[in-house]
Amino acid sequence: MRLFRFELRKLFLRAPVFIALAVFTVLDLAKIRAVADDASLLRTDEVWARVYREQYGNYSGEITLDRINTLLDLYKPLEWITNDITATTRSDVEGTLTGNYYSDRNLLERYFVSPMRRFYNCCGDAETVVRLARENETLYTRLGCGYEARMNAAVARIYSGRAVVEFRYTEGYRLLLTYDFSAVLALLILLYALCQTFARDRECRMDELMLATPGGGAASVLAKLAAATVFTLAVPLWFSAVDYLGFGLVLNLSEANGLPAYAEGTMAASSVGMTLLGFYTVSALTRALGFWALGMVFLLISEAGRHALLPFAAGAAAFILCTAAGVRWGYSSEALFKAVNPYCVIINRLLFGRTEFINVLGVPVLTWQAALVMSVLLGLTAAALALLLGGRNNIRKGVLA
Amino acid sequence: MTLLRFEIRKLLRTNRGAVVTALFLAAELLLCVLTDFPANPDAELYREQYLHYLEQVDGAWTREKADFLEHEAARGADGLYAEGLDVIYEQYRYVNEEKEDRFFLDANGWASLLRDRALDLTLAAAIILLSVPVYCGEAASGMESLALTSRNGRRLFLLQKTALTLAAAAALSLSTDLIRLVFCAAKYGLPHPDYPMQSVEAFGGAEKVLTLAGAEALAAALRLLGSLELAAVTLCLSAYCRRFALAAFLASAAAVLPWIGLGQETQYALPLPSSLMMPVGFLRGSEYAADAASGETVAVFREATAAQTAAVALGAALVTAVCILLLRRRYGGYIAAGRGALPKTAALGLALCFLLGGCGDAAPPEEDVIYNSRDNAAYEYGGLTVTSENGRPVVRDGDGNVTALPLDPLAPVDGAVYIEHFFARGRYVYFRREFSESVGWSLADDSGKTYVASLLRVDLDTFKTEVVFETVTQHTVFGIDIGGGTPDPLGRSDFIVDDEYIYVPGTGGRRVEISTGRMSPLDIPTNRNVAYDGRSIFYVDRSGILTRFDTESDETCAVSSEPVSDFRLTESGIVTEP
Repeated sequence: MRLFRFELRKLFLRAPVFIALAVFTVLDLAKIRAVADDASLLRTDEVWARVYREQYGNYSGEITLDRINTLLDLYKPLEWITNDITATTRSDVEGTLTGNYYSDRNLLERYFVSPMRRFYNCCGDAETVVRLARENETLYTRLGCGYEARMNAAVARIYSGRAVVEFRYTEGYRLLLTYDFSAVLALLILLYALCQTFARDRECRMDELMLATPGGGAASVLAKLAAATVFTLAVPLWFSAVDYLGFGLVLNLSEANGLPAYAEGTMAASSVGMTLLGFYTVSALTRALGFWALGMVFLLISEAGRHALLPFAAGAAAFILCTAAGVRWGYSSEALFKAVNPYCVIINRLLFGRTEFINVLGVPVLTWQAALVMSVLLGLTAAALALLLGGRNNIRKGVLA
Repeated sequence: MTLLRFEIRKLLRTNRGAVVTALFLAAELLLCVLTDFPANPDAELYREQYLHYLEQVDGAWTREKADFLEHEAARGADGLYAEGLDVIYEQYRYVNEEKEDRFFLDANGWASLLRDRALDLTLAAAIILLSVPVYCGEAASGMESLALTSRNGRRLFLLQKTALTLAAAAALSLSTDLIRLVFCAAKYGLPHPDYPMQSVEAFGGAEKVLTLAGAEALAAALRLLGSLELAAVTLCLSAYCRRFALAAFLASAAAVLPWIGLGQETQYALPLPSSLMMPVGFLRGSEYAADAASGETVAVFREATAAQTAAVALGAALVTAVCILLLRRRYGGYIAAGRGALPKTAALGLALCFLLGGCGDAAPPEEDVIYNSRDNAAYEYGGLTVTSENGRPVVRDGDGNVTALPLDPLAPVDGAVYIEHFFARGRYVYFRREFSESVGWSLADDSGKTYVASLLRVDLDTFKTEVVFETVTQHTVFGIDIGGGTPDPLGRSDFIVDDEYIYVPGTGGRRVEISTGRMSPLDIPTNRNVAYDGRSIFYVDRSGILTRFDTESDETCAVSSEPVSDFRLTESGIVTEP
């Protein structure tokens, strides 16, 4: 335990790491602001923001037929006059919300009608999915296709009982869930800190000296691995927390915390049914796990470096290759390539956002489940190799010295 | 001189500069080959026909050329050159918009050469890897203090190291340009370097007056400046940080973060190494996109003016100079205490194996195939009828039950779009699925969008679904515009599939190799029935003759001697209608 604390302090709790964290946190917040300004019209258009605030109260909360009808009464006439583009384009029309027919229509469509439609349809769509899946299950069972039958049974299980009963503002979550910049920041800090784990000892010849101590060899490597584990989990989680707070500050996230994850448009075909806040937490933990697995690989590379430059470059190259593979296969139908790629675990909406299965000996396994197992395996393998190589390396050197 | 030789040796051997350079060159070459795609694929596919027209209109717009093309288009293609006419006519429409500075030109080579929209990470990494050890290595081995106390230490120490590293960075940058120049010249050709830059569609909106060669020279010069700036900044960081990890970390952050974090316009207004290393951004014209909410056209990128480009270049030169001055300051007076020398360690080769390859395809059974595109309305197999309903292939069984294909229960929620055209062969039905996801929201442009186009195959005996062929076009990663990739080669028309190829007949016909996605032209000029018997494709050609195209020998031969108006392939043979 003392060794662990010592390694943690020596490797990670250092001024440059903290300064980098602080600077990157500020960068992250600035980027979040820029993204929100770029994507949300409620932040750039004051009139829209005012009208949205006024109208939101009328529709937020439980979705009732009354509310839907009120909304359609407001929207339908607008749609009707703007459809043939003959309505006036004046921006001071009496009786409109924003002063312009088209602007009114766009605002209502974007922030009320289309989310309301999506929420309302969610239940019926899910029921259709369940019905189709049950039908398919019966058919495949009859045809003797066991795996397909089990897969459809799983889909029916996942989608049964889905419904969105409340109307809430979800734009903030949409931007939060598709925001990836902080992953690059976390990656750079991890690369910087991890690539010197072993190189530092070597630079000051501490590795040879340590062999003469009771805590040297395998014990010190183990302590390093434990310290690195804490650090690689902490940094991505820190950035996930900053992302949440950042988007929470510029856009309202708390409104939609309790909605189910599939209420958000990009998550409509998601395989998870928890709340948005719960899902974000799971997603952040998964991202941290992905970084941990990559981190253990970085450590393994770091063990071989004469100094910290090679591990840094090799780690960066490994991540770039994972990203390139992610671009190639992240959206493809080859679900297996997603599950084995740490990039997809880090950018995990590719896994959670779809309901895709991998055939493991005839058992349908969801991609995110497979990916979690693969990440743990990858991390443990790398850590075990690091322990094995690190211990042996030191002993051999000890004998020579 | 001995000292200089020694420094060169240190740069190339001790600091593994030679390995880095070799890896860099190999990676650049590989990237060139792997990631390059023609800006106008049809001009490549129908090259001969396209060049046939281009020869007649090459160069600036004139009344005669316009009349000629209008005439040709009105007359309709005389068959042989139909696809080439489409390509040249598209180009004609583009040239027509700005007659002054848009010339007729086979532009694919130049478009590929002047494309880079993403930061060249290989170049940046190579420069950082070469520059970081220059001073960090000296600091780590304690050689620094020793060298500074020697006779030739102070001035030469700084001068030679800095000059050598900058020269190496310059060489790397120039070799990137050279590699791409040679590659594009060999693959597409780089004709008429004296034509205005606006002849290439990507620069259509640019205000700057530059020839193609001038644009490339300017791009190369800016890239060179950016590389020098990055090298100087990294050297400076390595001299002051003294630690490999910190220097590499800060240099990478300086190179990459502005690229990912800043908006395009901001990037091209600041003297950043990353923006100068993507010099094409200084050449591009303003770009506009429709705002998804208001429908108004808004500028997504404003052209960097000549003055702005000059200011950025000057700024970069200034940053480089300041870095060199800082280096001088660092090694002019204060001599730092060295640290322990590094023990030697064997290098570990990290092998990252990636499984490369397209989608798999199992062999369908050898059996007689009878396919008529006319019959797309219905296909019978084992008591089942495949038809299209509501734009999606469906299966109807003997009891009248209708099942939509594929048996994917998620269709109501996953946003996939199915295309009604299908091809059936034995127990397999092939059809197409498209899927798109948009991350960006306020602009109706392509950035932030991902398209997936798949060719699915359903086995009618078991209803199992497989993906036979798939193209994925992703436009952004980590919020960075990576410019997308090749478009989906299949389109939305009829097609025929065998074990190796997908055949798309008709105008703009093409044959796509399933395992590699490679395209080749397929000359089946027809918009009438197309039939397939498992080996040959039958169609009525332009002169009305029923023709057979053998897919195995690639031979075309006439089946009928008289023109026919229509035909059908049946079990007993071909039935023609005069």
